[in-house]
Amino acid sequence: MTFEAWIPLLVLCSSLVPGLLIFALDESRVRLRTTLNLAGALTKLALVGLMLWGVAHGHAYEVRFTFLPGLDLALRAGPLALLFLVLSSLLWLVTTIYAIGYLEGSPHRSRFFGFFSLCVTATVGVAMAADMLTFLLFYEMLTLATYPLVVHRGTEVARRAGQVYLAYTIGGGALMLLGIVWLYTLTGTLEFTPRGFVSDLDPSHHPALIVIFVFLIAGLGVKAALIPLHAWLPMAMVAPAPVSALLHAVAVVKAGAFGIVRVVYEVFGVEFAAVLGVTLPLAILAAATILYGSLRAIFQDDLKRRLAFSTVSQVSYIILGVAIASPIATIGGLVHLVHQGLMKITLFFCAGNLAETLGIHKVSEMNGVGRRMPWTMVAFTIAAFGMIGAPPVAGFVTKWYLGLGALDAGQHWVLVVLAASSLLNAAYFLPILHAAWFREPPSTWPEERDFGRRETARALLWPPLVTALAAVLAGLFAALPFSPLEWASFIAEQEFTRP
Amino acid sequence: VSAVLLQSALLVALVWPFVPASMLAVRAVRPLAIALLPWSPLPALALALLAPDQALELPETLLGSGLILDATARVFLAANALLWLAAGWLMVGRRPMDVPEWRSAILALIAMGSGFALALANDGLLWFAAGTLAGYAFYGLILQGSTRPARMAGRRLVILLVLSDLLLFELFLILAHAAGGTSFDALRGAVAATDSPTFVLSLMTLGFGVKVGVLGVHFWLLPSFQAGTPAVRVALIAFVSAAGLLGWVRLLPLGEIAWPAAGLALHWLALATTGYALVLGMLKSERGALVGSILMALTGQWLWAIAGALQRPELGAAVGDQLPMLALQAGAGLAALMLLEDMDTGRLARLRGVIAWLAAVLIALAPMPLLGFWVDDSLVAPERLWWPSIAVALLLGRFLARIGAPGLTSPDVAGKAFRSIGGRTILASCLVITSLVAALTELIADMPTDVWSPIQTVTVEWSAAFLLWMASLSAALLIGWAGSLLLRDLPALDTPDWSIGASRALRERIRALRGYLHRLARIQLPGWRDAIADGLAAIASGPRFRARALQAETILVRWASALVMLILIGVTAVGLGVGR
Repeated sequence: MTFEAWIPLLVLCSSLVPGLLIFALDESRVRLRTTLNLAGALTKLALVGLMLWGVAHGHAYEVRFTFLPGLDLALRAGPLALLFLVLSSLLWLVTTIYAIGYLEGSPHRSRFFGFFSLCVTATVGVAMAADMLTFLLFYEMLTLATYPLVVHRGTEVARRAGQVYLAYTIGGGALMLLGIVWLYTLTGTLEFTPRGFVSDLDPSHHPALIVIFVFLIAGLGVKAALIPLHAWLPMAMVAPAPVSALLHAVAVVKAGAFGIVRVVYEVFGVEFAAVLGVTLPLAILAAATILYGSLRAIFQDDLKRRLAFSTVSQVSYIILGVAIASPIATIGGLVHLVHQGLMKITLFFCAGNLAETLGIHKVSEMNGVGRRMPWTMVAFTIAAFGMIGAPPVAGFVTKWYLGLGALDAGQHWVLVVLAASSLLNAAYFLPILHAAWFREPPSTWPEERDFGRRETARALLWPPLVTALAAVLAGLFAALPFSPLEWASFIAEQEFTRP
Repeated sequence: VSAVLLQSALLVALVWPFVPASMLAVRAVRPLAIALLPWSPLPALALALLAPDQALELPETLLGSGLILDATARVFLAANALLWLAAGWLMVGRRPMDVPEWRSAILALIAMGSGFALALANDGLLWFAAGTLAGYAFYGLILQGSTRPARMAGRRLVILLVLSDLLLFELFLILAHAAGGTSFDALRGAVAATDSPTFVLSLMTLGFGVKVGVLGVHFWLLPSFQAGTPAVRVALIAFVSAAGLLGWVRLLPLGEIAWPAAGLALHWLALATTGYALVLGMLKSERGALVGSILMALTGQWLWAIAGALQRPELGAAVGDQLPMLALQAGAGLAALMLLEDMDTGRLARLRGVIAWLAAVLIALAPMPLLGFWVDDSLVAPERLWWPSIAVALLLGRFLARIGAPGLTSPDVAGKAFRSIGGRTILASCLVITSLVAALTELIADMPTDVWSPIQTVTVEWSAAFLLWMASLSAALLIGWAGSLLLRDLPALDTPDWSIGASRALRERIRALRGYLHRLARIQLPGWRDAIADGLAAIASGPRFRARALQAETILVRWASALVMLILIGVTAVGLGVGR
C-alpha cells in the first residue's frame, strides 16, 4: 500500500487506538488519559488537514479490503467526505477538551472517554465510507458506541432514553440493511459514485428504486431526526453536555444527514432522484420537520430540550438543501453541515456551563445570567443569532444559499419556510437572550460553584468561545479559500457541472 | 502607495470603533477603551471630509463585499460620524447608574461601527449585516435603562427588527437572484428591470420603513425616543437615516424608473405618516416623544420626495442626489435641538435660544432645494405644497415652545449628572454650523472642499413660488411655536391633570379624541414572545395542537412505537412498490 492509502486508516486508528487504551486505564490515571485523548485528537486533525490539502491538489486517498466476494470494505477521502471529516475531527478536539473539564472528578471517566473515542472512530468511518456496506458498518458501530454515552449517568431516565434510542436507531439500521440488500440485488454494486449508479437501470425497476429510497431515507432519517422519527433525540438530552454536543453537532444526527446526502447524490444522483419524483416529498418532509421542530422548541422550558428540538429543525436544512435539487441549494445544504455543527456545539457547551456552574437547567432560571457569566452568554448569543440566520454569523450564509437555490429551482414556497423558520427561531432564542442580558438576576443561583474570579473553569469556557468565534469567521469570511462555503461549492460543482 | 493607503483608510474608519470595543473585553484596559469612545468617530469624519472618492473590494468578506466612498456615502458617513461624536461625548459620563459603563460602551461602539459600515457598504449583504448588527445594538442600548418604558420600547423594537430583517432578507434574495450579484449597482439594475415593482417597493417600504418609523411599523420610534438617554436619541437619528433612508437611496434607481401607481401609494403613505406624527406631536408634551414625532414627520418628508421621484422620473436623479444632504441638514439640526431641550435659563440663555431657533429654521427649510424642482408647476397644486414639510415646521415650532418647559422625562434620565451646559452649547453650535454649511452649499451650489464637489446640488431659482414656499414653511414654524405658547397654560394631554381648566364639553371631546389617538398610538403589542410565537404560530400554540403534539410525543417515545413505526414504513414502502 502507498502512503496515501495508509492515511485513511491512520485517521481511523488515531481515535480507535487511544480509545481502546483508555478502556484499559485505571480511573486514577488522569494525566495519561488526557494525554491519550488530546494526542489522538491532534493527530487526527493533522492527518485530516494533510488530506484536505492533498484532495485540493488532486491527490486521492483510498484503501480497500475484500469483505466478501464482490463486496469490499473501502475508505475514500473525497471532497464530500472531507467536509464531514474536518468538522468531526475539529469538533472532536474541542469537545474532548470540554469533556475533560466537564467530567473532572466524576466517576467512570475511562469508560466514557473510551466510548467517546469509539464514537468518533465510527463517525470518521461514516465520513470516509466509499460504499454503502462500509457506511452501514460504521453507522451501526456509531449506534453501539453512542448508547453507553447516552446512559452514562445510569439513572432510570437515562436507561429509558437509551432504550428508546436503541429501538429507533437499530430499527432504522435494519431498514437501511433491507434497502441496501435490495439495491445490491438490482445493481450488483454499492459503490458511491458521483451522480449515482442507479440511473442506468431499466425503467421497470423504478418503483423498486422508489421503495429502496424510502427504506434508506427512513433508516437514515432516524438519526437525522426527521419527523416522525425524531422522538429519541429530545429524550437523549439526559446525557452529559459533551455527549449532547457530540450527538447534535458532530456525530449522530450529522451521520444521518450525511447519509441522506450520500444517498441522494452518490447512490441515486440528484437529477435521477428528481426524475423518480422523490426529491419533492423529501423537501416537503424536511420543511415540515423544520417548522415542527421550531414550534416545539418554543414551548420547552428545559434548555437542553429546547436546543434538542432546535436541532430537529436545523438539521433538516441540510436535507432541504439536498432535496431542492439545485446547485446553489446544494451548497446551502452542505455548508450547513459545518455551520450547524459550529453553532449547535456552542449552544450545548454553554448549556453545560450554565448547568455545571450555576445549576441552571431551565430557561426560566436564566434571568440575569449574562451578568454572572458574560463570556458564556456572549458565545451563546453569537450562536443563537447564527441559528436565527442573522448576518454575519454562519447561519445566514446557509439561509442565503438555500433561498437562492430555491429561487433557482423555481420552488418559491421554500422562501416562506425559511422566513417562518427564522421567525420561530427568533421566538425561541430571543427571549433567552433577553432574560439573560436584561432581566435582574436572582439573589442566589440554584447550585452555584465557586471558580474564584473566573466565571467558570477554563476548560469549560474556552471551547464555546472558540466555536462561537469560528461560527462568526465562517460567516464573515465565507468566501475565503478552504472556508466551508468554498469547499461546499467545490463539491456542488463536482456534482452538477463537471462531466 | 498612496492609493493603497487611502483604500486602507476606508477599512480603518469602519473597523476603528471595534478596536475599543474589543479592548473592553480586557478588564485592565476598560477605562482607556471607554475614554476612547467619544473619539472613535474621528477617523470616519476625517475620511468623509478629506479623502477623495474611492472603492475597496473585499472579495473574501461575506459573499464578496466592498466598500465605497462616493457622494452618497460621504454625506451619510459625515452625518453618522458627527452624530456619533455628539452621542459618544454625551454617553461617557451619562448612563443609567445601575449598569456598568462598559456594557453601554460596547453596545454603543458596535452600533457606531455598524453605522459607518452602513454608510460605506457597496453591496447589499454588507449593508444588511451592518443594519442588523446596529439594530440589535440599539435594542441593547435602549434596554440599558431598565425602566418600564425602556422595556416596552425595546420589546417593540426587537419584534419589528425581526420583521424588518426577514423582509429585507427576502428583498435582497430576490434582487440578488435576478441580478446575479449583490453589489448595489447590480441590485439597482434588478430593481429597474423588475416586472413586479409594487411587490419590490412594498418589501422596501416595510423593511426600511421599520427603521425610519413609517406609519404601521412605527411602534418602536416614539417609545424609544421617550425612554432613551439623550445620547441614545442622538445616535438613533444616525441609525434612522443610515439604516432606513440610505436603503432607499442605494436601491432605488431614481430617474431610471417610472412607477406612477406605486409613487401615488407612497405619497398617501407619506401623508398618513406625517399626519399621524403631527397629531401625536401636538398632543405630546414630553420632549423625547416630540423629537420622535418630528423624526417621523421627516420620514414622511423623505417618503414624499421619493414618491415624487417615482412619479416624475425626469426629477428622480436630482431628488436622489439631494436626499443625503437633506438628511444631513435635518439630522444635525435635530440633534442640536435635543442638546438644547432643557436649557432655557442660566448663563447664555439667549444665545442658546438663538441657536435653537436657528436649528429649527434650518430643519424646516432643509427641503427648499427639493421644492425647487417643482417650481415650474402651479403654486397651489396640493401635491406640490409639501405638506410633510409644513407638518415638520409646525412640530418644530411646538418643540421650541416646549424648550425649558416641564416635561415627563423618565426618572432614570432626569436624575443623572449631565454634561455641562457650556459643553452642550458648544456641541449644539457645532451641529448647527454643520447644518448651516449644508444649507448654504445646497442653496449656492458650491461645495466647501474639492472632495465634496461631486455631490450634486441644484441651483435654486429665486422665483415667487420659491419665496412663497419658504414663507409658508417659516409661517408654519411660527404658528407651531405661537400656538403652543398660547396654549401652554393648558396642561398637556399626556399629563395626568390634562383636564384642569378646560370646559366640560371640550374635555369630553378631547377625551374621546385622545382615547382614539391613544389606541392608534399605543396599539398594545403583546410580549415579544407572544407576538411572534403565539401570533405567527397561532395554530401551534393552541391548546388542542399542543395537547395533541404532546400526546403524539408521548406515544413516540415508547420503544415499541419505534419498532411499529419502522415496520409500518417498510410495509408501506413495499406496498407502494408493488402497487406501482
